[in-house]
Amino acid sequence: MLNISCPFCGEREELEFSCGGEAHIARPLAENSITDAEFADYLFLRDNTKGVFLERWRHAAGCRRWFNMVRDTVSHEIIEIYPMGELPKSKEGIAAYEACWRRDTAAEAAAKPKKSSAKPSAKKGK
Amino acid sequence: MVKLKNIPGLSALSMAKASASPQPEGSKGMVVIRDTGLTDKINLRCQADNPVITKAIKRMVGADIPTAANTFNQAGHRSIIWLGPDEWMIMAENGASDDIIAELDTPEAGHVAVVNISDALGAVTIEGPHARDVLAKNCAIDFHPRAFTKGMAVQSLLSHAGVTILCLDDDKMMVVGRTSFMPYILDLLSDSAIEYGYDYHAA
Amino acid sequence: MFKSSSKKQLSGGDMRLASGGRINRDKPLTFTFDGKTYGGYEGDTLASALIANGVHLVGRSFKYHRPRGIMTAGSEEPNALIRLGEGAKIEPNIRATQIELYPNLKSESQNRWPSLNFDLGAVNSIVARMLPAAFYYKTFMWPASMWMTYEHFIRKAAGLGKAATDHNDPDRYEKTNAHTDVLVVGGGASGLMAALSAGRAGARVILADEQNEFGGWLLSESDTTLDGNAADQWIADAVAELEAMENVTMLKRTTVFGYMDHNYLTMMERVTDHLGETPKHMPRQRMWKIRAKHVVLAQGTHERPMVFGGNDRPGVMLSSAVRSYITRYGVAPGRRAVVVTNNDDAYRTALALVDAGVYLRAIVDMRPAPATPLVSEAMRRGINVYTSHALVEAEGTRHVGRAKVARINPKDGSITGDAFYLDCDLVAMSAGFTPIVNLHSQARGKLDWDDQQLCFRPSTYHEAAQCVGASNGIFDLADAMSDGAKAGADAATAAGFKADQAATPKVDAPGQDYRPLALWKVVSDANPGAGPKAFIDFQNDVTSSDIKLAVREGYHSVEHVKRYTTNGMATDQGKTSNINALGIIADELDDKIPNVGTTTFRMPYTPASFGGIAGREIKGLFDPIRATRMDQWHHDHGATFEHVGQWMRAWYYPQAGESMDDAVQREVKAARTTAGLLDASTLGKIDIRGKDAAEFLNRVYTNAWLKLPVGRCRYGLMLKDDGMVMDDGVTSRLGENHFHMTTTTGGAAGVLDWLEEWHQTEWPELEVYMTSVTEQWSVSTLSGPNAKKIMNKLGCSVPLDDDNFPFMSFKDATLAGLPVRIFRISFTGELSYEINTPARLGLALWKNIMAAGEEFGITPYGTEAMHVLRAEKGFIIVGQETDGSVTPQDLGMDWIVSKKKDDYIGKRASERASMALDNRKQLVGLVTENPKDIIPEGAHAVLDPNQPMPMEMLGQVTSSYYSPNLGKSIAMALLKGGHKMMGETVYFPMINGAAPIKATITDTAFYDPKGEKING
Repeated sequence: MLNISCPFCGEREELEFSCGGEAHIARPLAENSITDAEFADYLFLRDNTKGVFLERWRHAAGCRRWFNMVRDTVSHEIIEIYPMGELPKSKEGIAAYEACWRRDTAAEAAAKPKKSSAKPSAKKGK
Repeated sequence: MVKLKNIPGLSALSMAKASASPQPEGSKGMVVIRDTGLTDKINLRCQADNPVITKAIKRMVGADIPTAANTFNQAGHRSIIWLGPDEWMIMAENGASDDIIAELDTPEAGHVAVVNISDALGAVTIEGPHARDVLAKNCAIDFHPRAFTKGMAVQSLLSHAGVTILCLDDDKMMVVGRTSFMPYILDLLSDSAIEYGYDYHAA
Repeated sequence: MFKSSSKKQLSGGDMRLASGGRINRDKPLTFTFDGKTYGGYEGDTLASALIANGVHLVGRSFKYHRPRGIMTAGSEEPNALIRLGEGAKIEPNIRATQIELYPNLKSESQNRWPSLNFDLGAVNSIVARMLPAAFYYKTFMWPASMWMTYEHFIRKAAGLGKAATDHNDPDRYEKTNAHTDVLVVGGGASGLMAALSAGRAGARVILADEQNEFGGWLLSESDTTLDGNAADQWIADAVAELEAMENVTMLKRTTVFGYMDHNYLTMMERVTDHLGETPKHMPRQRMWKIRAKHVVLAQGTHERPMVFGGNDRPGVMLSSAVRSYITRYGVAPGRRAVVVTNNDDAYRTALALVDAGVYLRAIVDMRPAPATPLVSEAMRRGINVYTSHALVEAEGTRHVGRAKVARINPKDGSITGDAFYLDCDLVAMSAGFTPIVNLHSQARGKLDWDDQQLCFRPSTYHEAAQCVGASNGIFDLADAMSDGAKAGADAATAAGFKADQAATPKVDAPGQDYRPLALWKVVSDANPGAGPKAFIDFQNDVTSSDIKLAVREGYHSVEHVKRYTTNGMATDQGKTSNINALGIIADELDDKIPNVGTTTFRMPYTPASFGGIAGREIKGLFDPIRATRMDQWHHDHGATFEHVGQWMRAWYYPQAGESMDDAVQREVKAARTTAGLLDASTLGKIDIRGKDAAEFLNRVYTNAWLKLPVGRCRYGLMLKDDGMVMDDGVTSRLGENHFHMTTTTGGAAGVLDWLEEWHQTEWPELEVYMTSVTEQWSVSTLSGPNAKKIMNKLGCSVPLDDDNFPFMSFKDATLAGLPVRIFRISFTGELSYEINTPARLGLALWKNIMAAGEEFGITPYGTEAMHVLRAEKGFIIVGQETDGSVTPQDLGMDWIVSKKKDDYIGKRASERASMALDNRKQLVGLVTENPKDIIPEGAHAVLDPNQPMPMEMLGQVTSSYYSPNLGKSIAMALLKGGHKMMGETVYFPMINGAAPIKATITDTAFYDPKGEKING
């Protein structure tokens, strides 16, 4: 059982948390039209990585806040915990983020606003 | 407006009767569990540095809004408990919530949510030299006197119930839970305390 | 040196030594084994007491039903598994070596029928040639259809002890959590040293030991002094010092059985097992869940049995165990002993046997020319030592009677001389020592092969842990103690304390060579494949031949051999068998042990009781039961309840003589003809605040929310982002930036989490806060044509006319003098008020409404009537009409889906081509041809009931009831292309030869389709 350091409440037992699966799956914006197949990348496809994985967690029985985690699914080492809406800063986390097949998908591109006047997409945490 | 304080109402544990188990040899002392009865609770959501709220809390609670995780500040019968980076709970005596809410929930305060949850939650206190042992049986928080000190408040699970646990004093804690979970929480605590002996006092 | 050999069995046994041991000779006890009464002493284990009474045969083996005796003195015991206790307290498979004797203890042997001495299952031993490794796999593979039959017999024949048939375990079990800076596992010499270092530094220390007293093997060594005193004096001092430290928790009788990620360990404390009778307030066992900053593993070693023919006969014991019985328990395990060894340690046993007055026939040492101080001492004492000799077979029937010994070539194990026999009733064997690395291995620590000491030693660690002393491969006592002291100090330092290494006492112990002879071959004079059985894994009845056979059949991976032969599996986890098996596999493969590798030890280290694992989470505390504030009233009025999630809701209120149907029909009828009252308190309620609250709702619901006027309510449907219906409810606008959302009872927590997830992770820029107020409000739903009259009679403080208080609006008011918020919404289609009041007043309000409604015949109705009432109107229930694969369009609810909004959760998915297919399952109504036929929920529809099977199925019934208001059966169903099948006939085939039910597809609004009843 993992010992997880909630960024707000500190170290707690895993049973206080719920795992929200793969992190950094950006939601396509309605203003961008994409095909059903491209949309499926966002909606249905999830990685099941053996090794360093970026995932979302929620301190369900504590402060109820979401956060991101870089975790090695083999060693269960928690490499980094970072806020929603941000990108990993650890070497392993950055590598895993960049290596993810999603970075090249139309679904991810469609999560960025068309117009430059729109709100910055860096806030996207999902 | 009808004053709730003036109408007889039921607390979360109104149906629970006094119960006890004798103190066996080897126990350092009885565990005493008490229903806190009808008390008021307010959920507060806002930014921690909201100046209007900060002042109003000081005025109405008599203590500062706590910004350190897992802590609460208390003044007399009123206290304010940290629940998250932008969330607190105010506890106060029965009937106090209307006035407190009126002071907090103002247009000047900006983006805030002040919600009366007096009846949504119940609470018991648990005292005695084995109070920490009883809690540790059901909750994975570190209740060692070095780790869980007076003024701390944690949200966690007491077996299957979500709770907030306050350290009121070295040997005195408070367990706050959802109203409908309170009978379960009381059963859990009482059963866990049989090893040391306990007394449950209804409100 | 024995006690008087008169037949005073009940005073501690014939084999009891006249003095010595840590037993309390002033506290004699009696106990029974297989119905016979024996005597023992406080401080005995069941094993030591049985041996003291000359009882060695204590069980039959798992597969061959061979007679088995006590082999060890610790938790590694593979043979002496006992059924302990009486009635509901019976527990099978307890190791006799771990059972502390208590007054009137009752125990039984296992795996024998009809009796231990004469066991019919032993025929397996005679036909053993037909029961090789993996016999069951091979024989019962075919035909597959017979497997169930085979399994029945295998199950009956296999398995060890039987559990209690009375399932009402009278004992209490506790579970607790603990955090610590340093957890020390094992309270032997090195563990105590570790605890002293860490404890003196002020670190929080938990020291757990599985035995009844601390000290480990030191308690069994009479030839060792520490600082010039007997070892037990040093132990007593160390324990006293530790017990006096407030930062140290000392746990005896506590086995650490699991080691999981991030230094999370589980242990079982046997709190009162040793008392026999458990005081009412005390738990029998307590499971600890520990989170440790650092772990020191001081588990010690297991001695390895020697592999020779008949090495499982009662009277063949581990050498160190023999020493332990003599020194610690004051018992002689035999009268004529042979010691067989490949190392120095057994010489200490030999000397202890001689000192105890046992006739030592000889030491049989496989080594060619051992020349160590211990060997010299044995020679000096005139002990007969055969070097370059091996034990070929331990002969006997139910007890060893003689040892067959022969000269060997120590290089290859071949016999080089004529065999001779030594009469004996005890064989003490030692084939070297294996550090106990089970927990280290559970925690994914790695091992290195030690070519000198012939054992695996811990190498690298996955967790913050350190193995010390013997479990670190350091067998010398002084070195082991200083290893422990250092690790304790290191652990405390790592936890943030300033720690010094505790000083090691001056150790005076026999000089010993810890290098055994490297010879894994089983010495035998029989032809290959013949000869007596030589056991590797005693608990699982795995022999050396089984291992060899597995290798010959192609299982070269150690993990495969393990599973094929069952060596090292189950509760034993290879404690005594692992290395011997690896040696034989390596020999067969002509390879080295480190290349063969080792298997992974699994949890639990020793079995943990289910009672302890369950703790208090049984019966009433298994799961919380939530009740509303009106719960007592429902009970007082005879309600029957149903579980809705954790809630207990009133299901229906049967009156005298009424069936469930009768009661539900009456309640449904009353709600439409006069007035019904429902406890709707369990509905989820969420307070939503902020300037973007309306925009937020606009995104989470399918319909439009921006323009909902303050004071008005609106029904909303929530989808997941895949376009499927997730929840529904009515949300009301309390203020410009303030909403009150309701959700389904079961969906309450999930919906709040859902909203938080979208807010926190997708739209953090929206200014909105959500707070659960589910339990702040009690809800009484008053429904029916007389509802308004009752409201007026209760002195409702606001006018109830439709202009002032229209449908889908709410008012804050007082009712019966109580503060209420009244929502004019309806799930029945009748004039209806959902009256919310602060929960403390819920019961008072309910009683007031019931009293005011009495003259109108107001009827409380439960959830079943609610289901029928809404079905009459064709209203869906999420989770009944939907199952996560149903869209609003499928439900015929296009009206609630905005065509104008840019986005909402599920919008893009709804536009997928597949969502517009004609053959999607769509919600329709059904009216049966025979109005009395009620189609079972879940029944499947077909067009032609006479078509051959498998029939083409159209879909299934989701709701089905008899409607008393319509006088006929009604149902809803999800049918393929159902919306275009209005008026068509479908059939529902029934089981057991009943005729198919015939029904016509209709609209779902069965009752008052124009909605004329909504205003009363």
